[in-house]
Amino acid sequence: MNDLIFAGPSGIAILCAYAVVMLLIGWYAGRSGNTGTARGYFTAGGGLGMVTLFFTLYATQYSGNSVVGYPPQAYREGFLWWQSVPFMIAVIAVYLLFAPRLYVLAKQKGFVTPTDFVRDRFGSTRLSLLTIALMLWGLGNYVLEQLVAMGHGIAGLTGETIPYEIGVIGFIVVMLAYSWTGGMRAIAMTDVMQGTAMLVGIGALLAGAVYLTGGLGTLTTYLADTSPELVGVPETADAVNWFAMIVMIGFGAAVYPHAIQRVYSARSERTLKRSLAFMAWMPLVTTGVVFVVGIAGIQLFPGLDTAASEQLVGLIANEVAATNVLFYLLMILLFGGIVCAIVSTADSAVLAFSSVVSSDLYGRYIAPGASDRRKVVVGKLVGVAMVFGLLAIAWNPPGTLFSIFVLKFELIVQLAPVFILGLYWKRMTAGPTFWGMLVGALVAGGATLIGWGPFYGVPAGLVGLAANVTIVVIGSLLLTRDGVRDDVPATR
Amino acid sequence: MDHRRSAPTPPPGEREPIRSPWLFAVLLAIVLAGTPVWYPTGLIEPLVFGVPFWFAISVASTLAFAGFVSWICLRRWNIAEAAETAEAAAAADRGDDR
Repeated sequence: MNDLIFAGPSGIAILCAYAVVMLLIGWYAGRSGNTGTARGYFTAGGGLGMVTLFFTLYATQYSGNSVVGYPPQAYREGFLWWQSVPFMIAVIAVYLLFAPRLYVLAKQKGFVTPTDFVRDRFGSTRLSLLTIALMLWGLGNYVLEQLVAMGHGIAGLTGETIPYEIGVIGFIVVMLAYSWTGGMRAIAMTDVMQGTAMLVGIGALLAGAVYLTGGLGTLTTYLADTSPELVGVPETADAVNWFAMIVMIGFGAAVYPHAIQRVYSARSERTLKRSLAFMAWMPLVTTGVVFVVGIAGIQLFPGLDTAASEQLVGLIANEVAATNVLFYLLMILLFGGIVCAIVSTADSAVLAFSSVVSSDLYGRYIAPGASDRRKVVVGKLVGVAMVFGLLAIAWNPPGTLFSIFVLKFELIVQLAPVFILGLYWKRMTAGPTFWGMLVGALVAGGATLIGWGPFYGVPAGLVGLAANVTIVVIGSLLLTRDGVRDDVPATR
Repeated sequence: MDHRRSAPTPPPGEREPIRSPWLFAVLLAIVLAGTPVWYPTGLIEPLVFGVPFWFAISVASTLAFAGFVSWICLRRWNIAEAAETAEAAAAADRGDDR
């Protein structure tokens, strides 16, 4: 995002204002909630109401990548990128497969981390450890993506007025401060502010794009004349990939640890199902709107290569801000919205990472007698260490933003069978579940690393998932040929 | 000892989406209908509301997908709500404002 005219002092002012609001909310949440216990700190004691739960689901699910990374994707792929709307709805559809029952179990048994369910259901140490390893890898990658996006966002949109390093470290300190004082409750409450800022920012981006193109009515005709491959029916492999991405992101995003912890955090079933009912519509006003902006970018800035197109949001913001004061202010709101989108996703992933390390590793294997309060402190320290460790990697970001996004889903989707089949299928046993998850992860990760796939549009993550489910089903059937095992804890 | 017992019958009024497989069959059908695998590659005409026909179908499918998922959340999911509502009412009667 080169030579941006607008940001500068105004950009710094909006960043400072947002940072102060976040700190105040965190301070209030820390004062008013019980953050001394693991369940209180990591899941807000299962007490999030409808508005807070909705916004924390929203602000967490839609990251900075959704605002900064998706318009370039639409720019390069054309109408094919509409898939980003159904694949975000699919996340809620997959929730429906397991969240209703998992919510009831979590309330009954006081679950704090996703591994609590795996341990309760299967009672297997090696399966729990493999689950933890995949979750930590996925969460680490997720936070790394946000740190990279934060660099793109802050440095790019302020035209380097705020250097990359200062911008990232400044917001990390703010994020860690409110997370430290208020845990999940502070994160969810700041998500209300951050989600609102994000929605306003996306609205401002759309308004700017529509203003620059002079309306979207003739866009299809323009594209059909100049770039017919972007509006015509995609090739069969791309169409297959459309469906495959809906399946992979639907299953992958729904079983992310911070997603599962939001199921645990709901105050009641009523708040959870109403929040998810609203969430089903949010892709239309988020990735749907961002898609339109990317398509408008094809007309506004034709001929950008992959690297140049990654700067599309900055290019649009720059052009729009230069037109008049109103649009200048709107672009400042967009800028704040992007930063909020990034921070709101990063804080949730850091909290989930902290909870898994402190409760599942430290509290279970390193110091089994540790008090709840000590586990919370360890979790906080782990969060700080994790973020600064990942910063070292973030200084040299690998690839484009989207390539990072796909890579993490390849592995995290391997967790889907243990939660979804594990809840309902009593014959499912720990051994085949472990081997299925391991083989699925090796196939998916290995294929990605050596550059195999996608296989006729099907990503390696889904090939791994197919292997995973096959091993789980056949192995469990063979091991329990006499029928349902009695030693498997019932889930109803 | 016979282990091959059938799934327990849910209590009256309890609704859990996964116990109605037809809901997910409909969701799959909606998603497949919106996947652009059914048309010849490169087809743009005819235009519907200013966009290619295949894309209009995908957008309609997406709207149906969101609407149906939302409907399932609100109408086909009811496991703990009655008990939680009763518990909340009892707590309110006791003056417990936690």
